[in-house]
Amino acid sequence: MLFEVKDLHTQFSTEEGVVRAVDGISFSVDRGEVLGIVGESGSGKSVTSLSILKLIPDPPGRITGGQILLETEAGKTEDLVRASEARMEQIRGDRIAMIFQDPMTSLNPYLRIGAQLAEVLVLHKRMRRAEARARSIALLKEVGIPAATSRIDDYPHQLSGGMRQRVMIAMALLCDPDLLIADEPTTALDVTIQAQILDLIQERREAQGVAVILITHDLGVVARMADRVAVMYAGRIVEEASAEAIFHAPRHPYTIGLKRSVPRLDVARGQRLSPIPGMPPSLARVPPGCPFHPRCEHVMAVCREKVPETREVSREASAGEPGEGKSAAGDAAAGATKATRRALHVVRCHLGDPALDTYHGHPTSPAPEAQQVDQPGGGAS
Amino acid sequence: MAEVSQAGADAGAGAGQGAGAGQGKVRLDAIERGSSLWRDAWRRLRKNRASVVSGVILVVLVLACIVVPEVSSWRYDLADLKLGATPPSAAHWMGTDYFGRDLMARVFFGGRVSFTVGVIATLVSFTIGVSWGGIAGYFGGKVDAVMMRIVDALYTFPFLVLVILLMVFFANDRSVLHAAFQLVLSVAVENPKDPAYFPIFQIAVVFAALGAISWLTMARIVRGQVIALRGQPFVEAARSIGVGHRAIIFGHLIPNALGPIIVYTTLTIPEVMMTEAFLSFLGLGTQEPLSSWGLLASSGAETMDLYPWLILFPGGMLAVTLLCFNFLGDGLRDALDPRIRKD
Amino acid sequence: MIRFVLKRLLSILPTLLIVATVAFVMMRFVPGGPFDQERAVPAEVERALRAKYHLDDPLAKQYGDWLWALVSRGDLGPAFKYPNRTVNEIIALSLPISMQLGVLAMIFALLVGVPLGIVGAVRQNTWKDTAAMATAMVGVSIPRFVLAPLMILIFSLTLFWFPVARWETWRHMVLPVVCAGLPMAAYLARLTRGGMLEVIRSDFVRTARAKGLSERRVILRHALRGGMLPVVSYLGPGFSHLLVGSLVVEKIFNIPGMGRYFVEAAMNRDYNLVLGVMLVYGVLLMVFNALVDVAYAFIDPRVELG
Repeated sequence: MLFEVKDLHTQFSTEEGVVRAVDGISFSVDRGEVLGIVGESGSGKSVTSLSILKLIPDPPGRITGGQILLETEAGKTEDLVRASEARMEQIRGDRIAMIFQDPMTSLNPYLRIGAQLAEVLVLHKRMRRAEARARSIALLKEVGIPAATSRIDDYPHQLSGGMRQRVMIAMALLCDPDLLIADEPTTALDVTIQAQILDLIQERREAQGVAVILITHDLGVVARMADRVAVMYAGRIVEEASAEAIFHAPRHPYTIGLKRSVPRLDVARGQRLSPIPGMPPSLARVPPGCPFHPRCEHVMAVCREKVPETREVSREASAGEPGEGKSAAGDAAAGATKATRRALHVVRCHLGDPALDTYHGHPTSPAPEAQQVDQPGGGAS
Repeated sequence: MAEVSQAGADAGAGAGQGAGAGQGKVRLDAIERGSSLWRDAWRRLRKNRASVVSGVILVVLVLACIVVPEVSSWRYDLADLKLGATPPSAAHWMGTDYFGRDLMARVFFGGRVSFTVGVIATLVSFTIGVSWGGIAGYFGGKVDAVMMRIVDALYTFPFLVLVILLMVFFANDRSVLHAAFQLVLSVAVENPKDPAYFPIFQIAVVFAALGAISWLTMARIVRGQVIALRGQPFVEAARSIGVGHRAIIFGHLIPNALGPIIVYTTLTIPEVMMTEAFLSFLGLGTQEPLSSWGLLASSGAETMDLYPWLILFPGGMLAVTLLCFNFLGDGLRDALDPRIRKD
Repeated sequence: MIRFVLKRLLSILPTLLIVATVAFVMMRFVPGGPFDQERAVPAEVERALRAKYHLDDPLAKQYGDWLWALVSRGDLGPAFKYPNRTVNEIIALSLPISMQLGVLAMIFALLVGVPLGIVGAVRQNTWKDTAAMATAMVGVSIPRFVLAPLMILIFSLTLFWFPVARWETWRHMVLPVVCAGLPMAAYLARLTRGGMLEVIRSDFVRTARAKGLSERRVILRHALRGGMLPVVSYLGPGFSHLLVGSLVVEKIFNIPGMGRYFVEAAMNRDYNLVLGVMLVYGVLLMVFNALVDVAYAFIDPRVELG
């Protein structure tokens, strides 16, 4: 495995207390693979990416536990959490490179782009200036900058947003990194430019075999790019699966909620989107148990104390036979086993149980959680 | 949340009133935001040890300036030529000056003058700056362009040079201003021509001159705030129910921009006090037999090789006061200005 | 850029004319004249003096003559209180001294203030930052006329390192330059820290770190330019503060600079001298502001000179 994060914890100490921005996440990504990390703003995605490069401002932030394992040239693995700052400087920009969200502000406005590109090569590849410049021009051409030979002497403000993001990508790819972290690479761009930039990343992945961690809040981007997807909420990964599984058989209510809140063209006009109610919790006060439970429409007593396991929902169920869902719901009401209830937890939300729709429409009707609390011993496990 | 909004109804009433003219919802929001802003600010300020200590020292100094000249056994202008200059002693804690006057009485009396100049000139600059910036920001367009162009033009001028000229040409007994001053004085006292009133006139000119030059930054700050607030729903709401321009600017916009205004006001006081001292040092501000810290430092500087205490005490008092105002202003800025707060 | 500088310098002229006119009119309308404070002067002598200097001409003629002399010959007229010298001579003697003091003080302020501010920003919230900023706060708060006597007491009268007064050798210059420059250094330290903090938090500095640049290079190559912008834009008004602040230093150290003449001339109603010195101040200030604009555009490519 090229790159692996194990049980990573990143904390910030703030006026309101300790913020666990990243709270024990694990994931891995291999050469040529794209891992999507999805979540709302404030879920800890960007802190994750900055933690990997150890760019968390300290103080107030600190990596407090876990491992970040990178395969070295010799085939061994190295734990970046314990690597020295000097070692990190060798790795940053050379083996692990990063593309940031906002190309308008991520390039230095006071320096020509040529200088900003070439300094990476001079630093990591010990190139001479002229050589570095030639290589920079070549790469600008590869990422689709017209008239790269003259553009290289422009300042960032002379380029459009899309062009600047191309420059950022070129800058990240200059040293042939093994891992590319793209943190919301298209969020700040026009829709048409977004597609071009994503295609460009896809193309570079194929051409250079670089592993990509793609961080975004946009499920559409993930659907298009990722091989595997990790869903983050409140500093944790609540679900990780292949992209296909995430889209066709999501298990966690949060994932389902996220999916439902994406506008779709194939849904009849006039039908309302169903956004997830409420806001992500302040990371200084993450609710106990499953952090999503205050917003979850399928919350069970167990959710308040521990994170319930999500279970695989069968292909058939996820294909969406309303009848099956209903019968499962009926079982639960009758006092089914815990296992059935957990399955129900998932099945119900996925199938769009009519009872739930009623709940949405009529806030006065008993909330699902009230039904669950009635179950004796629902919280023990 | 419930308790916050409850407390907000009390604490935030002042700030909320401005926003309250429109709909109830807007008003509630404004109160909640307002109160938690002030409460947070107060909490942050209390945590800033330098600011708290500075605030306490300032209060003590002001009280001392009020009390000491009253209870002191020496008057600030009581000379004892036989005594002359003596170093600090049990009778005269800060020593005496060349004319045998008690330095402590003079220093604290001078403090009254310095503080008064600081506060009044700041009020003058506050009034001009807030009105100017508020009007320019609220009306925008050409009004704003012209008004701010004037501010920019004045900014490029070496102000103290201007103040020096103003002081020289107005603070004399033959200036138009002096005639006006005597006219005003004749209402209050029997013999307005008494030369004893002349120093008071000069100090009044110092107020005016300092106030007249130090409002520029305030105008810029207020204008920026007003422009930011102008588009908010509560302003539209107020306008829609027919609240006049003046009421919107001074009743709604300015109260909501109070944070930065307070910060800058706190920072203007030391600046003005420093300028007064500077003028007095050059012989253009406060005149004998009155005293101010700048004047005392000026005469102290001339004889510092012989009587160093004459410069050390007034100079030290002035420096401590300015330092405290600056620390307090900095603390207020950290506490109140959300933009810089992140530092 | 040269065109910009020329344009700016030309645009100074109307402003100067306005300043000169206002100052001229203001002074002539104010009571008191250059010769009426000397009680010893009998009435006919004073009348003769006034006639000699054309002070009995109509005001418009006085103004016209004065302006013509200035424009055609660069002549600022005679100094009334210094019978044998012209304003030009006085300025020619005192301006270089004031300029030396001002420029040296500014260099001192930059050399001390900017590094202090960078340390404060880079080591934010550590004891180094706290110490640097507390020092700067003290520096901002101590008036020059308190600082200068204090330094004289310590370094001249106690340690005998530097002379007490005058402006001759480098030893004479040390204390005045430090006194004039220290408050500005303190202010620059605070400005630099603020500017640097803002830039250090910006996205492009994060990008620079992500490229693997060392902290030193990140600060010096990527953050410093942006962080210096507030400092650069302050140098214009800062220079004028320095000029005025030097009045005190010139007085305390008995330095024959322009500031001393200005204060004296204003008090004595030495019209020509006041006007002359004010015009020189104005020119200096505006030239300096133009230079600052050029420097600003030089640092920030997004700013266009026009």
